[in-house]
Amino acid sequence: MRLPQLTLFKLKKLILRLFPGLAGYHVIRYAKVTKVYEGSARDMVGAPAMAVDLQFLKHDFSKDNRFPEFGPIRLAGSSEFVQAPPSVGTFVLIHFPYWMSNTATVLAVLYLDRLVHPEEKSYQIRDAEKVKISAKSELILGEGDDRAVLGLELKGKLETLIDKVSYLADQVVILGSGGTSCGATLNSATAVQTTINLIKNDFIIIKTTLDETLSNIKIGLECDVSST
Amino acid sequence: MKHPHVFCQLDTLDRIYTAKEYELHQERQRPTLGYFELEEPIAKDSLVILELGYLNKAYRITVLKVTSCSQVGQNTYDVVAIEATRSLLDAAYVDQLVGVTLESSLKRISRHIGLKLKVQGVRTTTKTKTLWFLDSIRNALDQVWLVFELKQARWMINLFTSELVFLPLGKLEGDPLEIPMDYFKRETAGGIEMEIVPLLKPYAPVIWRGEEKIVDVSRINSKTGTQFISFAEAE
Repeated sequence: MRLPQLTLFKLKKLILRLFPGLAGYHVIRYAKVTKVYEGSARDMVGAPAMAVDLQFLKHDFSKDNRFPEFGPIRLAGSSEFVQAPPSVGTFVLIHFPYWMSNTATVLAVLYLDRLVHPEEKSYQIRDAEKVKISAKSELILGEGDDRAVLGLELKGKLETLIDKVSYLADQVVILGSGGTSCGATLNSATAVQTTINLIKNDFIIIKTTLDETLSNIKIGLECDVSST
Repeated sequence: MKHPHVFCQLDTLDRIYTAKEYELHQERQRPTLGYFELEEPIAKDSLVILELGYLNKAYRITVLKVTSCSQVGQNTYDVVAIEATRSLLDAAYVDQLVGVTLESSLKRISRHIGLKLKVQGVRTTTKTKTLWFLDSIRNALDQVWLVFELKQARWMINLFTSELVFLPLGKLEGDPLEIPMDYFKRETAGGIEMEIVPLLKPYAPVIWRGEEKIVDVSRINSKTGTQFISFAEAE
């Protein structure tokens, strides 16, 4: 009887027993998005909401027929505040963190087959059908003298204005009723005049704020930012 | 107690080949490997039932597939055979299992190779997972063990019942067998050497020096008349 010869094939099988992740889970692969999951939901460990279906590709971006379409597969992003799933047909990078069969994650989007306009030191959101920006307290655009704050600051000024208008209305009511005495009527008239002046000042401040804010913002389809 | 002669035979259901000499390597979660010296040739790729026995009683061990048979002398043929589970474990398995538990994932894997799942003992409840399998049945099982963080649990394939058996404690059910000291030869670094006892096979619970243990590996060599046994390490 002879000792069995340890061939490379047998050695590979032994290594796979020790490191099951080496059966393909260690490879960062190209893939192509075949479906995008939409709708708001909480992204959970066992049920990713920000997810896509995809088809694995070979290193030359041709379809890897060994694998069927897989999904939903979790998407990683560049920030928790940016939600931008790739569209169907987009090329992506997929990996299995920890080399385990339950960890499939799309790591990044490739620009393959896209018309691109890279500009150094420029962050661009281009060619999206829709761009939504929401901020829970403040939306700040620009910096220094060009800084514009949308949100709490403007809202605060508007609330003060509403209070003053409300006070003005009360005084006008008193004035209209003629008051119970001559002195009360005179007091109400003075209050109305003072309040109107304050309101005028507030309007001037709000107008200035809006002028400053909007003067540096170009919004809308007709706005060509590429030439600026 | 005198140790009886332990014979080994390969049963093709048409006829029985008795081995002049034999070596067996059995291990939990690995296909059994056998080397046999036969007086007659046996066809490559034949499926044979491996039997070990003593005192005219044979015990069926498992089913082997002959991988080579070569003549090495007059009326002497060296035969190498490996447990038929090998081809089941090597079968390609690329699949996605969405929202599966440990048990449902094992059920899907076993169904793919034509086996039923049998869970021994108390059923384990686990969270659901989504699993992607990219390689083989063997790799899928290894991945399930990783993902569900199984420690002492083991799987076992019973070819006679066509079952994939999940053993939560890594051992067969039943009372542990006391290893007979009469048959003990020596203790080695990795285990013990003794006379050949066919019932001491992987997954078997045994009592050794007052402690319950599980047989992990068994290596039998008829020329030296020894059986090496190593026990499962606590995890």
